[in-house]
Amino acid sequence: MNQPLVEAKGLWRSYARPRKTLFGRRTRLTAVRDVTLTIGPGETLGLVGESGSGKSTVGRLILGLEAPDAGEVLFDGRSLEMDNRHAWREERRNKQLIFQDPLGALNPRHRVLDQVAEPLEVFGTGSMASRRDKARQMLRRVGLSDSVLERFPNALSGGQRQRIVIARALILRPRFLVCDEPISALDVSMQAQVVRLLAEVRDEFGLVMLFISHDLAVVRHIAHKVAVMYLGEIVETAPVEALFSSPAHPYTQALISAVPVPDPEADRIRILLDGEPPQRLDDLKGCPFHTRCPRRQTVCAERAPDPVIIDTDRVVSCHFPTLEQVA
Amino acid sequence: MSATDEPITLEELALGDPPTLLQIKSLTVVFDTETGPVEALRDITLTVSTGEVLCLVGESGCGKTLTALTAMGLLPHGARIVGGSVSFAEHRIDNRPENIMGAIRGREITMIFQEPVAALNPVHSVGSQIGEVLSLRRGLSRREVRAETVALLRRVGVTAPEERLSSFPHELSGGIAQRVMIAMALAAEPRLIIADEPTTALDVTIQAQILELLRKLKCELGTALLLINHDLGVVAEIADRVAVMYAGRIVEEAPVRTLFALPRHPYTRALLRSRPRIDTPSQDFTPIPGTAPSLMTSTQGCAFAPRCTSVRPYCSDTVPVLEVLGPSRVACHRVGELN
Repeated sequence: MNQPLVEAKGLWRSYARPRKTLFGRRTRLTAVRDVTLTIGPGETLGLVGESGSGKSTVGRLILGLEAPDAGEVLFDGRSLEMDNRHAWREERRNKQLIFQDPLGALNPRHRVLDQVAEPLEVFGTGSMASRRDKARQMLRRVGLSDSVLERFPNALSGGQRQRIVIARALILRPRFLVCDEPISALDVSMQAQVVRLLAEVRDEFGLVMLFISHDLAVVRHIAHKVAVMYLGEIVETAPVEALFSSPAHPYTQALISAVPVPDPEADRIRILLDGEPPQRLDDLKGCPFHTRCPRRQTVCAERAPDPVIIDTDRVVSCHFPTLEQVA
Repeated sequence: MSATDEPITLEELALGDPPTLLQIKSLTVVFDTETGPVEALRDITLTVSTGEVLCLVGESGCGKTLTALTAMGLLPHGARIVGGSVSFAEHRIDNRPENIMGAIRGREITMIFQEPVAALNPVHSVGSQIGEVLSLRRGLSRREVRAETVALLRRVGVTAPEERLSSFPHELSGGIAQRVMIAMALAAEPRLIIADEPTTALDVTIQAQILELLRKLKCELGTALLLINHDLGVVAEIADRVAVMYAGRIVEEAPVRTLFALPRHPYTRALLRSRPRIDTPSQDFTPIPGTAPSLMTSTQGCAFAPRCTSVRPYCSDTVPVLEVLGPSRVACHRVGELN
């Protein structure tokens, strides 16, 4: 069997919450609880969930931008050395990150070409001329004309900026790319262009990708495998078509059914969830979803479900998973 | 039905129940810039009927929000109307003094925004913000205000409304804050609500709840809704009629089923194909090439021509006007040949 490129095992991460009052008790918020996932060679894992579900934190833990409280991340079978700065730096060339807001990721006072060439300079690769030449080629590859090379990010559109960020992330020829809501800040027609571009460069450069997004429709079109998060836990993992055609976890079912379809004649079953995710996670016993679950039973509030393998590559954490066709 | 130009009082405006509630006619709005006036809205003609949901769709910068703001008499700084008119209940309202417009806005037309927490007043409790509308617009007594506020919050699906009265906006989640915003918009019992991307900032399961609520309110109260949205999925779920905007103009308008089943304008067609859909298999979408033009660049002829796959040389000669085609209105030079 192929060794996965990225393996996260039992990751936990919590943050201290600000005190409510001056002498109040300090509480902690568990953002990620016991997250385990693997991404194989050539694979794109879509990580979906609503705001506050811990998707971005998982991305940061996997990249080694933050240390987990417990658990470990293996890259290419080796553990991330958080303490060894030199090794960490060397490792980082293999891993790149694309954020939601391209303007925040770019330096407003540097010209486009210089910014894209900068990672090569940081790692001391080639001469200045060859670095600029590589940067120019990469900018062309992501669909930017030479007219933007000497301009500043402010003078460009959101879509152009995100292309620059993609070019800069690819210039070191990384093996692993984390995209954290890469298209949320873009205009509708730009979103489709950038999704298409990401799928193209992924195939061209053989990238392994973690695609974090709240937009399930986009994830369906780019991911091979999807993990669904709720309140810091992964509740279901499945190959993309299986997840969308027969979701097993009641949360996944509700999430998919809530996405509007651009067809007024569409005859879909809408599962409306009551209320909102609870705030006080640490007091929560049992299944994280039991407060809103339409199928909850007494056991759901008492005991957290163990992950169950229901099919090839399909894992679901629910006491009462469904396996029939829902969509 | 022609709008009268005579001065009216609010009482007169409140009388009668005309089929056409909001009528925008040949509206053109310009921004004065250092390099001269820039046309932001060009020849906009729209109507919203009583009890109807009209959706305005288009990419950012196409003039959706400006159309709504102009209809409410809330022109941004530097913008002015250079042509056309806005009428409400068959009375012109675009030339009213601010005190009259202010009253119309609070009573007959209310608004819901994208960021509910930002739109609410941070230093007043939920109860006092809704209560203010009730005592000001409907002249209720203090006791009535409290009872009615609770009833409104219950109507929009806020659980334990009595406890929510003393909450402040920052204590609310996005979904609850948007419900409070809707309760405030309903408090004055308006005939038209303008909602600018009311679910865009919300999570998808909460968006589904709010859409369900808006649908329910439309059925129960018959309030007309002018909804600005860029998500065609949301539009398909809630609209009765849809107007598609591009570069400050309406390029197509049709009943919702017609628009999705038989889109006429190449831009509408491209827009429908451009988004990855949740109910189609992998990679089955076609991005629209290029970017929407900025309003600063003046275009010759059809503004969509540079991105249009059906373009002909003559498309850049003149601006296409809206033509009636069955239940649709379409502004495209090639509309006759393409269908």
